[in-house]
Amino acid sequence: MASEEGYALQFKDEAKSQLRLLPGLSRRERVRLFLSLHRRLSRLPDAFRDDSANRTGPGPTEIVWPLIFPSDNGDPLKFIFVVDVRAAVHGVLEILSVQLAGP
Amino acid sequence: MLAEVLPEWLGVTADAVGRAFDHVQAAPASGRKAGVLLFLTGELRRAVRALRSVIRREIADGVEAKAFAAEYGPVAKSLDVLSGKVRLLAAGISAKAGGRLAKRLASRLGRIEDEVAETRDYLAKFLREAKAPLPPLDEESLRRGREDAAAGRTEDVRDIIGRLRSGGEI
Repeated sequence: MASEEGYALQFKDEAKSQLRLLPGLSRRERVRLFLSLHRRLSRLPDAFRDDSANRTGPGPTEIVWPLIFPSDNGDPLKFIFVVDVRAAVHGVLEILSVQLAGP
Repeated sequence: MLAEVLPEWLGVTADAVGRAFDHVQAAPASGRKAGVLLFLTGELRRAVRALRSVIRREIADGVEAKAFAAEYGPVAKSLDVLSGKVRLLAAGISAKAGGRLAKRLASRLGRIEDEVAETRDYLAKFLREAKAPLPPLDEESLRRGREDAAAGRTEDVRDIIGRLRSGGEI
C-alpha cells in the first residue's frame, strides 16, 4: 500500500541505461520525464495496477504503464514503462525497463 | 472535474447567446439587451480560456495514456460540438444584422471559434498518441531489468531527479 506521499519508485539500472542512451531527448525533456513519472506513477491507482489488461503476461506482478508529456516543441512524447508491482504492498514500485513509444 | 463540467457549460452558454440574439432581433434593440449579449460572449470566451488552461496544465504535468483518453476524449467531442455552434451563431448574426452590435459580436465569436479550434487541435494530437496501440515490448531490455531487480541494482527516482536538477546525468 502506498503512503500518503505515494509509492516510492525504484529505477533499475537497465531503465536508466535505456534513457541515457536515447538520442534526441533534451535535458529539459529528461527532467520533465522524471518529474511526470514521479508525479503520476507514484499515485498509481489500484484499479490500473489490478487490471489484467495492463499486465505484461499471465503473471500478476508486471504491468505496462504508458506516460505522455509534451516535448520542448509542444508535440507529444510517449514512453512505456514496465513496472514490477510485487512490492506495492510495501509502498514500492520497481521500474524494470522503459522505451520510447511514439510518436 | 473542471474538464468534465466546462464543456457542457460552454455549450449551454453558446446556446444562450443564440437565443439572446434571436430575442434582440425579434424585439427593438436596447442598450441593456446588447449588454447581455456582450456579457454572454465574454463569459463564453472566459470559459474557453479556462478549459484551455486546464487541458494544457494537465498535459504539461504528464498523463497516463488510458486515463487521459477516457477523461478527455469526451472533452474533444464537446469542443467539436461547440465549434459548430459558435460557427453557426457567427454566420447567423452576420446574415441577420449589419449594425455595430452584430459586427462586434461576430468579431468576438470569430475569436472564440479560433480559440476553440486551437484548444481542440492541441488536445487531439495528445489524444491520438494516447489511443495509439503500444509497440511490442523490448523483451531483451526487460530481461536485463529483471536481472537488475534480482541483483538489487536500483536507484530511487527522487535521487535521479535531484541529480538531474543539479546538472548531473541520469
